[in-house]
Amino acid sequence: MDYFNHKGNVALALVTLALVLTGLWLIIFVAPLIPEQEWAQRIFYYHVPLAWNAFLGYMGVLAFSIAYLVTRKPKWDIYALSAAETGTVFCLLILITGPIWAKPIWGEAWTWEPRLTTTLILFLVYVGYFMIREFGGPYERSSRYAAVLGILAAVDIPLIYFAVDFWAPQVQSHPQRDMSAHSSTVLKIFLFSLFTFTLILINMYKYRVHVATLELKNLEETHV
Amino acid sequence: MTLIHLVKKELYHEIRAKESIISMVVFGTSVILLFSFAFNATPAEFARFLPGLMWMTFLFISILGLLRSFSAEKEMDAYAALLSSPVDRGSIYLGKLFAFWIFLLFAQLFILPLFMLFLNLDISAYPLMFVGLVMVTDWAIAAVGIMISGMGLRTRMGEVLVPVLMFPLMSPVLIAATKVTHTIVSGQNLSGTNFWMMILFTFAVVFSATGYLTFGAISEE
Repeated sequence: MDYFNHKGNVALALVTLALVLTGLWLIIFVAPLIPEQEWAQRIFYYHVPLAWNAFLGYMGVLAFSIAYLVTRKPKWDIYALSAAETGTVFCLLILITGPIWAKPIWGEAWTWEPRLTTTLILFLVYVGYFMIREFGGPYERSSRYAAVLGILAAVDIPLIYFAVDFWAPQVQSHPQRDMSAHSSTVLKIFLFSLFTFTLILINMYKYRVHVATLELKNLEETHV
Repeated sequence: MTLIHLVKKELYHEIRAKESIISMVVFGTSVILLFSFAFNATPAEFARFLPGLMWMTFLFISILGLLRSFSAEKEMDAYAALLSSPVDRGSIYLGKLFAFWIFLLFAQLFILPLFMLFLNLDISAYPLMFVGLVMVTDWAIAAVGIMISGMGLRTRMGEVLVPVLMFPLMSPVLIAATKVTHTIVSGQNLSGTNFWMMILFTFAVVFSATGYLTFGAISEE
């Protein structure tokens, strides 16, 4: 069945599109400029929600991977794969938007700032996750391997973060730690953007689950 | 008891085949030689990079050893026999982990003197702390490495997948081990190393436990 034949999916996509456009208008025309950072700061209305989405995606991978290893039901594997893919798309976008902000503010596109470094390491771990899915052999086996790797990666996240944070303490910390210090308009638009991006994640995730389910069905039919 | 038998099996195999340790030692020696040529630095200049270079070398040789750690199972199809024996899968993991930890320590017994001789590694300020650091870090490397190489055993491109999967996962271990080694080499106060040792211990314990619990899923047919 086509994904967009379902009215609920169409409605969700349209609402999300409307919110994205509204958010764009709010960020460009309504959000006040923050002294010293000027226009560069506006990328944070996207950058932070991207990180939130990647986090949600990867926490989903952990939960669904455990569920798959315990129950061995293919639906959990599909959920884990979809969460990993959507999470990694947002992870890549963090790595792109971070340097775009850093270049005018810090004067260089890449610093070994803890969160950015942790994101890069996570991105590499999940590239490995997709490689094991690709080269892991038969579907059931590669799913099992991927589930184990998904758990290993999630367990590693706090260790990577703490290690990297203490590794280079002289590097400046992220500015969103003091986001609450800005005006309430900034905070409201930020929360609006966070909500919009969560909806984008839900759209992407649902669509990926739909495609992965069709792929699995196709695979099963060719093997019967 | 089962665990002791499994470790003995690995050790007997290595003593007879001499695959892992010799290749690890020879490769480690070559890397040290290449570092000397590539950097051509004074001992004072080297002191800054030495901890990082040393742990990079150990990570490289561990990859080489790990790729051989399931070689008998792969080439002689002994894996099916091992899995069909009445042994719990977690114990197979612990047996492999313990044996590889011994191999790695043994290879380092030969490589570390070369670091001291060629690259002026000086651990005289805290020799016991250094031994403890090597033991914990090696355990952490082995805990992740055995799981990853267990996956690489039956995948296409296993030789590529093992380092690709392992290096990013090992980054906290590399950072922590390098920081502690730097403190030892420079003879500074060890109180600053507590946090890093905690990271290493946590990593070693958490990944050993995860490996024990999930190795069944890796070793299924």
